[in-house]
Amino acid sequence: MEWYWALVLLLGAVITLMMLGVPVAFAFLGVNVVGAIVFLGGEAGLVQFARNTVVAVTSFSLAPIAMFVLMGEILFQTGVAIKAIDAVDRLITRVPGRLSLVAIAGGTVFSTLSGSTMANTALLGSTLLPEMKRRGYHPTIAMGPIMATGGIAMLIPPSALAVLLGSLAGISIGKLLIAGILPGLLMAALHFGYVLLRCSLNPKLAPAYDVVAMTFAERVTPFLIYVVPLFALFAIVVGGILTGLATPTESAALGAVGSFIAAALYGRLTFDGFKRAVMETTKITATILLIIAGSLTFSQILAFSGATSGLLGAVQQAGLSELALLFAMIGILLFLGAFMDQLSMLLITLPFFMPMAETAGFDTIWFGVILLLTMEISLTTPPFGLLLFVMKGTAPPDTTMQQIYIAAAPFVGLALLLTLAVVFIPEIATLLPSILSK
Amino acid sequence: MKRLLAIYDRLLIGMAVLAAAVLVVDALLITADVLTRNLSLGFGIPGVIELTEYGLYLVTVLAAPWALQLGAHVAVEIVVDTISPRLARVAERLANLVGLGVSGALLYAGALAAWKSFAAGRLVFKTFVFPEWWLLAPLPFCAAILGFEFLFRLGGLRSTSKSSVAAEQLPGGN
Repeated sequence: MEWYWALVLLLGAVITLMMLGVPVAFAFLGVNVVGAIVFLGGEAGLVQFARNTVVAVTSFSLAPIAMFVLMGEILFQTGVAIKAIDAVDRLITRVPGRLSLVAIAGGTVFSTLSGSTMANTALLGSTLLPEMKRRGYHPTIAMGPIMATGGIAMLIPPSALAVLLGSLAGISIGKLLIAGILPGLLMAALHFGYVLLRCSLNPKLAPAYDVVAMTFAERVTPFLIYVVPLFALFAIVVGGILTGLATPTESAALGAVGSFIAAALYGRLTFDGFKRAVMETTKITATILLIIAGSLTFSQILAFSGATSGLLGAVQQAGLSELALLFAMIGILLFLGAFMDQLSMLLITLPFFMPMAETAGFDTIWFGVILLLTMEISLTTPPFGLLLFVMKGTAPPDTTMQQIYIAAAPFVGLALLLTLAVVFIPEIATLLPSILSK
Repeated sequence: MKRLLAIYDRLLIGMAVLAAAVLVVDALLITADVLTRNLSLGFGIPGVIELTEYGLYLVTVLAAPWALQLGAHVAVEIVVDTISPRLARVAERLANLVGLGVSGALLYAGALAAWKSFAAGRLVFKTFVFPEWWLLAPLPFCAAILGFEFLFRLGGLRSTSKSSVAAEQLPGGN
């Protein structure tokens, strides 16, 4: 079979099964079954497929996913995260678009504690959106920052997606996690500046209101109590990796246990909250790992069928410049992201993208950050970006999808701007990891 | 039939609770290993990496059927959400049939791999030494349970509808 037929059949089958509503994990496993019989040698191929399925998830490098999710879930389910957002809320006073700025600052703080964009968006949406609506905030300035800031959790460690990307692409997970910090903070700053500017130019977007009068101590004390100590968790995770005292997996486990201790110290730890956090983490981990279970066989089948080398050869023959190649890859991810989840995008594209990136001589950390940024954008890209639907689920019932699309659009633009900045100024991504290397 | 379903559901919850316990033990073991290694005790806990790896595998096979029962597995539902309800039902049946087929194939492949390993007397030689089939056997077991879930769905015993936000489990991350 010619490589292009194999490519069309394999990718086409996965996408067709997904569109049919087959759970992503089963779509990959299904194609693996057929691919193993056809390309890996019948019964021997099936045995190899079963072994690969076990090997793919029996990997220490995947452990941070569970630990990062557990860390965020404990803080979320015990209510510590809400206390932290509330503390940030008290700190910001008398500025245009105050509640939107609270969403950005609070969301960024929670991004340093949680690896889940979903939890981030749901938390901000449920705590701040009703208040924004009551205060007469325009939907665009109310929902946009919440969705956009939700995506920052993907960049700033702990980030489960960065771990997945590092693990699947063979990029140093520790360096990739550290590399996301600066772009994540820049993204938050861009959002902050945008909201300030828009609300200053058009105060009707976020009508000013009198914030409850409080003394300086009343404003600052909750921040010192509920936010500053939580940065210790971030310091444990990032510090462990930076100093080399702990691997990313170990840092993640320390973070998870640390969040448990933090919740207990705050007096928020209940058996119910702990149970919810652990069961939710188990559910999320199992669903992610079952998708990963199909990854090894899928990439082997692509390689054995000749699809990988065939496509790589065709791309080389096309003589694309490095920049054109990079933008083509970004374009493909943005296209896929409009109707597919991030993990599926990675599994489908990485077997091709990583060899292409290595052939083109890309810095893999820089390339990894660009992939993360692109996937973050795709979370809020109409029509089917995941966070758009999370927002629909969290927003008041009369909110239309069109309002949500309009709200997300400027922030998609800002994220694209930052992606371009990282493309042309690689140091934004590589500066911190280079310090790690020293 | 209802009684069978109730027993099956209890089995799923039991497996999920076991998976959750494995996850917590993993977190505690890794933490204890880092602390004992770095807090001037100078030693780590042997085999933690290996135990964590097996733990992740166990979490997957023990909790995946429960997640399926909850409709929590990531699915792309763009097409299903936009077509007519009649066509959506056809797509749903097809999706469940594919799920059943995949589970059956995984059951066969996993059982075959475990059997061949057992027959050849293969061992896992790392920190812990044990017959390799112990590692391979949970996979066909999980596949069988997943297959039952798809059968229940096809038999109309379980609702499968869920929203487009089904991908809530996404990493980075989800």
